[in-house]
Amino acid sequence: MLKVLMVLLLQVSICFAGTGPGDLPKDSIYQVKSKWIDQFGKKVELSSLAGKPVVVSMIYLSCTFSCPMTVAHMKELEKMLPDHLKDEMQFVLVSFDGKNDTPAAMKKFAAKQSLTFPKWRFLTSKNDQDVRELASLIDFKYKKIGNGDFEHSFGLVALDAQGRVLGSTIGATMAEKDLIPLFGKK
Amino acid sequence: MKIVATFLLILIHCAATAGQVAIKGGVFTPLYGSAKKPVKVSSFLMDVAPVTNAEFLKFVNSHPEWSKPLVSPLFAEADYLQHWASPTEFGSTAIPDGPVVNISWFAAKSYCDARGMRLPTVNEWEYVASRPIPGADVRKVILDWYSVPTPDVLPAVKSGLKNSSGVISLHGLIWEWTLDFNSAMVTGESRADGSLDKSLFCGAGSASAADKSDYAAFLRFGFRSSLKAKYAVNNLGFRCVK
Repeated sequence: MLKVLMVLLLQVSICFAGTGPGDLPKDSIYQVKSKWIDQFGKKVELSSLAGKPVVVSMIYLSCTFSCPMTVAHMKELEKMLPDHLKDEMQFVLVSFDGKNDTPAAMKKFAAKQSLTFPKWRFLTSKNDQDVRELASLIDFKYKKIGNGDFEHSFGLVALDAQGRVLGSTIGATMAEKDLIPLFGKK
Repeated sequence: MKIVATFLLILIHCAATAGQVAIKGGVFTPLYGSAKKPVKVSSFLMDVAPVTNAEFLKFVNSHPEWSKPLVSPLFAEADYLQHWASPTEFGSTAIPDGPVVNISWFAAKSYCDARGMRLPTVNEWEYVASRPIPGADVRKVILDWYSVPTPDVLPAVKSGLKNSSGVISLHGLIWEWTLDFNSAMVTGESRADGSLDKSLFCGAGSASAADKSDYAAFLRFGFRSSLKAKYAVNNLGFRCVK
């Protein structure tokens, strides 16, 4: 019995060693192992965003006011970016309403807002723990309040090409334009 | 091969049923919420007792990324597992059967994940915590506990009181992480939620509470809202559900 357990434990640790975060720095949020579904129904990990800088926020699609504002602020920020950042920036919208925000719903929302892939990405997950984990990493808070609505934070978070948090407008401590210098000069 | 598989199945089955109790779903009114309405809690399995030092050490051994030297500062602050003498030894300040504390939310989540479980939601935890403890007044137990400092060495998890659901040490031993611990911090005015929701503490806010006399529950909600997911606190542990 003990032997079986040992073998099992060994296997588990080997599995984890194999899927390690590779070259990511210790303070990269891409170290999380959560799996997400994008607007095409494809399984993705956050580490697939590595290599290019990111502006990320969290929304739910049936939200009528602040979530369209989040998208509007991202679009404004995109316009303000200097050329070298404009090309490589990835805008990521993560849903905290995995029950209703299916890939199909996200695709529809993207089309309506003219948000094209791969510059604009949507992520959803049915695992509440994983969504809460990502939210905790970027200091974003949300709570279901019934009627399908949520109370939630509002703002954009800037990540560098390796998934390190550079700064955020959550809590209105910074304006969108203040995020731009954080990405550094070319 | 088949025998091994059967063994494993039995093993997994045992592990899944031995340490947990079935909590029958129902309706209860949480202390605090904008709706002030009763919420429905579905049936689930809950660990009988909080996760122990010995159990967490086993997890660390098989998931070295959660050992003190390797853990990312994003996932746990410097006090992580500080009551252990070394990354793999308890020393004199922790007993194997004592609750694992100085544990971050991220670490607790990963531990539950690895067992095919998860952390309880605030509603689930409070639902079970509202059950009576035979032969004791729950509120008195809690308030007595709040009034004494945390001992240097926490006692065994099973030494605590058992409530009518068969769950041990929900009150009187440690605080426990919940899945959505920080959601009570969200205020209606989203621009303001960078700071604490003061309505949780001041008189005006308590008007929206379901039971104003449940001072202990106020403390729990206040404590949860002061936490961040990477914090390690010397009297904060966890248990899993599924």
